[in-house]
Amino acid sequence: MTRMPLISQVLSFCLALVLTAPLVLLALLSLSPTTGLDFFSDPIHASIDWWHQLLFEPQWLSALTTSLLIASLSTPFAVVIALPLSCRWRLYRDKVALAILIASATVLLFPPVVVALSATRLLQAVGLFDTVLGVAFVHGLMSLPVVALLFVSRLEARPIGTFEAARALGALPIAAGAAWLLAEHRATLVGAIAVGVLTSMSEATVTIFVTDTAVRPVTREALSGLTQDMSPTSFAAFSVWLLGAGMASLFLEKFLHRRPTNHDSH
Amino acid sequence: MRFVSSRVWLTVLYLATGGFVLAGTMAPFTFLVVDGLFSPARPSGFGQDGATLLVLARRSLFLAVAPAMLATLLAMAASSLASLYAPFRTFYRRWFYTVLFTNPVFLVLGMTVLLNRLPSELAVTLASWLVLMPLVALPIQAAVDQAPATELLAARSLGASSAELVRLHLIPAIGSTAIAAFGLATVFALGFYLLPTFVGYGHTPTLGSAIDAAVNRLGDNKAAAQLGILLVGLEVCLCAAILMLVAVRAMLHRAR
Repeated sequence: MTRMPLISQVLSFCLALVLTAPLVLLALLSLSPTTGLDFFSDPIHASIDWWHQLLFEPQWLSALTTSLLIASLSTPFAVVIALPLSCRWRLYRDKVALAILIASATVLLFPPVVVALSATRLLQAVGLFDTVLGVAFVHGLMSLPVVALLFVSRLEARPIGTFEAARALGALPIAAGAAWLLAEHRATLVGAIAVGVLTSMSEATVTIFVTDTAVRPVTREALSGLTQDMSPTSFAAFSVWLLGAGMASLFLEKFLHRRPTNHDSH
Repeated sequence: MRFVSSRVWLTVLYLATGGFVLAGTMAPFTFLVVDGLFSPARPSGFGQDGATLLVLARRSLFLAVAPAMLATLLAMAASSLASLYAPFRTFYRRWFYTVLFTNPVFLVLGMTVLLNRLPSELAVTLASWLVLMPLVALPIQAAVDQAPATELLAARSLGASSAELVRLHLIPAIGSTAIAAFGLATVFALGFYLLPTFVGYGHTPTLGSAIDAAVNRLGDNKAAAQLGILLVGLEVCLCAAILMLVAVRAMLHRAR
């Protein structure tokens, strides 16, 4: 690592500014005193009304509850499939497990709007259109490759000594695997759950297609708000909350990753 | 006996998860084909003549390729700067992980405000660039991290400047990853419909926004499925072109 010339430092600063500007703008917008998208017309009278509304308005609370319910169904779905397959690949180099994980990424190879359209027709055909279960199924399918990618990359980064030692001492594969995961990969488990929940809560492209009036998760509520001029600033407040949650889960994961385990101290 | 039963359980597990994953990911697309090719037409007044389709396809392609190219170039620049400048690296990693964790659709709102005075195509291009940026940045940064450190150190100790280090060593090392990331981003951007609708205020209809309109406003599944098939066709052509580019690059590299 060497000291950079001034021009590179200026370039880095400008790039950082361009990358963060929309996020900062979003945060400022959530402090707007009006309902419109015109924060800059009156930046002096900032207010936290939209944050308050987000927590107390029944419409938003209901949307938030629906989103959390969907996330709580889709995340276990993704984790329960991705975790054993990733462990099989890491511990036994099982190519079938890897092939299934790669197949799960098929959904990412198509443009999102095509996935949305196809998912809508599938859910209509099986009678799950505009239901929590239907949305959770689609979100689970979309979270699965993301969670799998996280598991595969993180499990690869740590040794499997704990697992091999437990097996040598006569532990069953599942018990040895669980001991290894808890000793080495608590941070990865937390990270995968956070990724699953955040992916589901912030998914909008497919959600708008597969929901109508019965199920209104927060992204649908928010984007309808943009077109119907309901309260887009609440959406800004929610977005900032979600970005904050994303950053917090990053820090939590990093903290757990650094914390020495019992295994390390021995 | 215990070995046999564990093999049986494993096979059952694989068949169940594999079958479920494949059915879940592939079954929906059969509806696309059935709707697009075999279902009876439903008159919805949705214009689908050749000229309209050509305009939509051309605009979709432009609004996918331009931001993907911009994102790839900037991610390469940012990753190069990050590899040379530690404070920027810390910031850059945190930025793209945060944006990646939270679906970039939340940037739609910020960008609708930020870009509302620009011409709609330019606004959509810039907004799409920012949405694609973390998607492109992740593989490119991973490739930079895996670039041979000894080669870079040797070049530096032989007197190479930072610019030469990036141009002659780093960029050739991450070239193939950058092309693949560009392809992935373009495919992803081909399916955007929220950005043209919100940031472009509907003035830049694309195949994605046309599908949205056909399904959510007109209820015309056949038209939507046909547009979807066209979009997948475009994607296949684009992927073929990118694969050819990677192959040509590899051949040139080997010849050298």
